Amino acid sequence: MAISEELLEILACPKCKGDIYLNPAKDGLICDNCKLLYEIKDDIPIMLIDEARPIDSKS
Amino acid sequence: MVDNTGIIGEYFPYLKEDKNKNMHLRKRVLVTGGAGFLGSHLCDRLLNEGCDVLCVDNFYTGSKRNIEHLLGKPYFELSRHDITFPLYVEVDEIYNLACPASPIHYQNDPVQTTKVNVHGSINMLGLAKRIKAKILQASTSEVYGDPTVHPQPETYHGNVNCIGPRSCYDEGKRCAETLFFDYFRQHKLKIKVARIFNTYGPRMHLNDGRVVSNFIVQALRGEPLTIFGDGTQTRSFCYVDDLIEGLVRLMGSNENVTGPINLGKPGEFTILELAEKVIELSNSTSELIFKQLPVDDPKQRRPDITKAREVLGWEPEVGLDEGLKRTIAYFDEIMSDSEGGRNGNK
Repeated sequence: MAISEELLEILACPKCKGDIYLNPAKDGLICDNCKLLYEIKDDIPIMLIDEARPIDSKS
Repeated sequence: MVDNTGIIGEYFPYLKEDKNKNMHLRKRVLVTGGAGFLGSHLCDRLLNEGCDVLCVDNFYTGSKRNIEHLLGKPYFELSRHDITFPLYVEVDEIYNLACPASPIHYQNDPVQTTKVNVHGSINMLGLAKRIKAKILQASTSEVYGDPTVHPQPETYHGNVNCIGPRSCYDEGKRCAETLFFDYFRQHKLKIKVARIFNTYGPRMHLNDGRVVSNFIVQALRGEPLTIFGDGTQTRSFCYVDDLIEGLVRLMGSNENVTGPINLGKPGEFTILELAEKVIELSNSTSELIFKQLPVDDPKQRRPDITKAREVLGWEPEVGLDEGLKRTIAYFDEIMSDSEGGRNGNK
């Protein structure tokens, strides 16, 4: 189950406060600006900078 | 989800901040001491500008009569509260005007006077910090004490007795200024400090023991006008509308303008000249009597308003004659209500 639209609407990247969006696999939130992926575990987005995964800009 | 307070940004960094800070179309303004002489005029002015006004007063010296005409207005709210106790409200701007300002009032309970200045200021500054509001302090020319420099620029540090009967007010206001500037330096608060010189106008207290009200009341009753000392000490009197204009301009000034900034009318009169003018304008037959000068009464005080002119483009416009006429008309009305007509002649 993906996270709700309403929640997505108010979430921001904790690092840059910019917009984030759901990745195609729907198991993480992506911040293009910081090139970080915030994972969604058990339907809960882990909005911690330390636990975010860097993503390759080309992928 | 709206983050109007900044709290969300601080504690929930993963939530978007409010991009629409104008959720409140009307500026919400807190006026402490809002039922007082200056406060009630400020409430009038802010409501006229379309602000949502929250008037807080403990009614020690403030009067319901001053704000009676505002009570039905939808954007006016009145709250009886003593700011020596904490207050939690949501506003965009705070005008801290709460404090008995006339010697007989503030000397009546000197501890409370110091308390409202110190504890009251801390409470209001704490509130401003919490809700990220801009805050203006109504300081006073009394911070200059009995000045040795004439006229007084903002840079003058004052000559104040810290253990005299007036000290509760003078030192209280000085300490409030200290607090404001420490909150500014330590917590980056948006502060404005105005040093207000003698102000007069309608809604002054009839019995506040101040020279203008004393003279008008005595003249209207046909009693002799009491002059303390020989009457050569000078004062500057600013009409209330001009002063309010100055306060509003200061609040609206650039963020880097903190003051302190003198607000007053530089035109200087001796007490003797004032007495004669009041007698003339109220068509009174009163005479003058002279009494001994009280302790700590400053002999001379006149504002240097160069800074207000430069920074705020502000200049008092109402002359003493016009201002006194309006004030005398108000006193006449109030005294007719309470005394069943004036005893003086007209």
